[in-house]
Amino acid sequence: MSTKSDLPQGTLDLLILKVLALEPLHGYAIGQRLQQISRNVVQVTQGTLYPALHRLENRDLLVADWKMTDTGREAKFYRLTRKGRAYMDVEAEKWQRLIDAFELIFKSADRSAP
Amino acid sequence: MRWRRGRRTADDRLDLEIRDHIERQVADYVATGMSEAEARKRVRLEFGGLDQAKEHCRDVRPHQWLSELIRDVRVGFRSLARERLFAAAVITILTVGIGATVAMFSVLNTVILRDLPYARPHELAAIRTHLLLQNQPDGSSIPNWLDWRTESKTFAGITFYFRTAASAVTFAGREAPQRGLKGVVGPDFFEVLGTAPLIGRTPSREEFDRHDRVVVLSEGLWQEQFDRSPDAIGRTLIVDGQPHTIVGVMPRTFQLPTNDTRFWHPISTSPLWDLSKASTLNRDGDILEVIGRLAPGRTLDEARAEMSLIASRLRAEYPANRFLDVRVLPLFDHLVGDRTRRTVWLGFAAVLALLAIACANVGGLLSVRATRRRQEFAVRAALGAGRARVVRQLLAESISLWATASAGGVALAYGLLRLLLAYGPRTIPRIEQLGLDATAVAGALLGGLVVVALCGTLPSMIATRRTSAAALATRDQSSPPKPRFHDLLVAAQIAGALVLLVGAVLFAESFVRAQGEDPGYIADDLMIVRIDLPQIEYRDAAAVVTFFREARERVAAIPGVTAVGGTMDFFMRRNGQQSITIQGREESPDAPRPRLTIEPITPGFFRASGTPIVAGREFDERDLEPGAPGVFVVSESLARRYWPGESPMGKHIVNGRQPRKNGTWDTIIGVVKDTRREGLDLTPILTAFAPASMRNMDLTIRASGDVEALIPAVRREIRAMAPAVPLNRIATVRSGLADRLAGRRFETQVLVLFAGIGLVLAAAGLYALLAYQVALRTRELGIRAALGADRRSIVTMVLTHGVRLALIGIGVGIIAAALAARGLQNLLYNTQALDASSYAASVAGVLLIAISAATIPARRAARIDPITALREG
Repeated sequence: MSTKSDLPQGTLDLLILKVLALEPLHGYAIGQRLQQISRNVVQVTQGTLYPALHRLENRDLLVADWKMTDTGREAKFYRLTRKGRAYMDVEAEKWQRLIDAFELIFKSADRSAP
Repeated sequence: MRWRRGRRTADDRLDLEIRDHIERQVADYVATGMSEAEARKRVRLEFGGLDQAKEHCRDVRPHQWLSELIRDVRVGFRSLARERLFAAAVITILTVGIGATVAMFSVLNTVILRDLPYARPHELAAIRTHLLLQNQPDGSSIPNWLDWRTESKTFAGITFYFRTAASAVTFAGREAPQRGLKGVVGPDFFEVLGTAPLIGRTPSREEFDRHDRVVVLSEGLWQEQFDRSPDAIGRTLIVDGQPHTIVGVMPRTFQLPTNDTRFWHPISTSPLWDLSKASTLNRDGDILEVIGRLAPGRTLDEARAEMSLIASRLRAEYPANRFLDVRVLPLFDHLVGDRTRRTVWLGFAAVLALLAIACANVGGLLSVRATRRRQEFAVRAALGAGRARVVRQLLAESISLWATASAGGVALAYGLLRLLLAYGPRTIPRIEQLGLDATAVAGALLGGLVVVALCGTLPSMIATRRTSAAALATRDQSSPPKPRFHDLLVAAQIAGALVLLVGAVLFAESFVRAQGEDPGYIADDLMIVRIDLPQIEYRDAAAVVTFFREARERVAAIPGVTAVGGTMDFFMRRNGQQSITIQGREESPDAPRPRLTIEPITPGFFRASGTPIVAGREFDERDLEPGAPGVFVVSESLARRYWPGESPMGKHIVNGRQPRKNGTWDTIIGVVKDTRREGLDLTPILTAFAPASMRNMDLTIRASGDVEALIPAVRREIRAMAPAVPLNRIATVRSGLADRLAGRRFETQVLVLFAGIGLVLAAAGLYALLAYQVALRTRELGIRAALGADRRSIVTMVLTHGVRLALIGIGVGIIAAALAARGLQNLLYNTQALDASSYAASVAGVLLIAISAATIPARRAARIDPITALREG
């Protein structure tokens, strides 16, 4: 449970975009998917997930369609826009660079330790 | 069903989405074997604050701040509705402050700040003759104007205008004759000002030189007589019996010489206009108002230097110019005038003082309210409201107050301006162009917002800065935030109120003194009927004399009329242009002489007007007969000036600067008291009365009893004699005199009103502060009472605090008033701006009101019951 607050600022957006890059999903499914893929490391509360989704929608990185589902209710399905995909690529690269740098520093620090 | 989705609100959609999520989670838990009830409970726990989650979603909406603000404002209105008295007080005070400020700024902008409505107005200058001996400005003469125009290089054009007594005008083919002020204008007048006519054209140079009888109408006259029809051009206007052709119409903004000028005609239509004879004309000061337009690239200073050179050359050349100089000033300064400028700035300063009082008052009210609400804010903060959120809410409440007050203020300003237009003095130039000023409205609204926002949030922010826990736990309200700040606000209000009160007292005193001046004649039961005989029908002087003799006899026969006389212009400001020559004291014609006026009057004028005859007799009919010996009656001041210590009776004088060629003299046959007819606040000018009947006269009618009831009968008698004579100027002398003090009365009324509002506000402010402080100290006062403090000492304690604040305010107020008074002196009649008794009376008044306001909370403090206070505190 504590991991939710450990998620660095901005990463949730990126993770959501990555999940949605595969297929359009509704909010609940996005939460479940994040949990599954990260093997329960990433747990997102609804109080964080939905504002993030709405924020991304407002920035035109996502669009939503209402679709009838097997439950007999309409559900809101989010999918990636082109702008969202481009944003995701750029951000993912940034993160990758940061992670590489992070790794480099930690490993070299380990080596130089006596 | 897509269309229905569009109609769902954003909140509905959010609801649906969240519910979908919950249902799926519940279904998942049920699938793992949980009971549905258990699953729901668990989901609810996991989800945490459902509303909070929704709120976060709303927060990321792009238009959030706006709808949020609107919602806050709505809540603000609601929370104010719960405190009606508070809201009503704040809104009323702000409305008055904003309304008065907007109205006064509109006046300021219209009258003082707005440019003249002529082309490139900054190039226009007034060129005035200056009398060196009297050290006062004067009109100019034709020969001087001609010399200036010929010699000046700094002016591209120099022309002139002047106004004459109203003329009778009749439109060809129309019945009723009218009286209208006309502007007589010099060559190139319209060209120098550079204003295009609304329709038609302005008189051409050829027409001017040919002495063609052409006129230009004002927009007002055009509208009344021709309903704005272009057919007016080419029609005939009969001015004083002479037909003139209408060539153009000038727009309403064109207001030279005055804002009630009905039409203009070139001076060349006058038979007297002959420039070839200009050298024979008198060079003394005269009636021309000379104006010029600076040549491109020339400055006013260059023009001043050049004109003063020209003036000194003329002084050397002509004896009559020996004591004449020239002053060049911006046309704007000449037209708007120092007095108007001072009056309007004074009004504006007064309204700013009032606004400051209002703001301080509202600031006090809001800060008291904020302090009272400290606990509410602490609760809100504890429930998770961020500081920004609380401030936003406060801001929204302030905006609700401001919005209501602004709407009221603008409406009030509009009403005030309408009142001003309807009842205000007409003497202020350009006042008829007055309207709500967009700049003023915007400025006042913006300023109001800043004040309200600051007063509404600052005290609360100070209040919420303390740890919320302390505020929650102790309900400690005994130490309000910044008590000094609130004290200062109250002292400032008292200072402002004192300044306004001093101003009001000074103006009231000045007005009362002016109104109480002895007119020198009996102003009651006296009526003036203006009669202008057409030049064509009454060309012969004998016909005029006969007409007025008959008119006087007919009117005198009306029951109720006790005496009738006539004078050239009863209320006219006598300019003192003439001079007399005294037998045995003949001086050089060029010697400077006291300014005096020779006033033509009919027999019976002194009796009718009630002017006391000090010595000698009044004129009678024989004095009007042709060939009768010339006679004069002089005013007391004239007698004193020329014959100090002796009687002027029987002395010989003539009108003019030198004895008559034939050696005859006129005789002084009477002395009368000095009279004030041009205005009670204007000192009488030296006057010599001569018997005459002019074509244009004011019939002066004295009645026993209700003079106005006689108007129909008077009209009937004059109509019977001369149906074509316009009779649209009939007034009682009392109303005429009152009109001439209208400006002073108006200034006084405005200041008294402002001072009254200021005092009420300051008293309310002081009362509210003390009442609030007493309420806060209920517990402390209860303890004091319990420990044996007697009631008197508690009353004294509260009163002392109130009086101390009042004294601080009074001290500051006296200094501010004394500083402001320096700019006020010229506006006062016979009253010193630093008049000690006025200040003393104002201080006493403010102090008395302050003590009364402080007494109520002081007595409440004394009545505090120790037991109740301690239990409740």
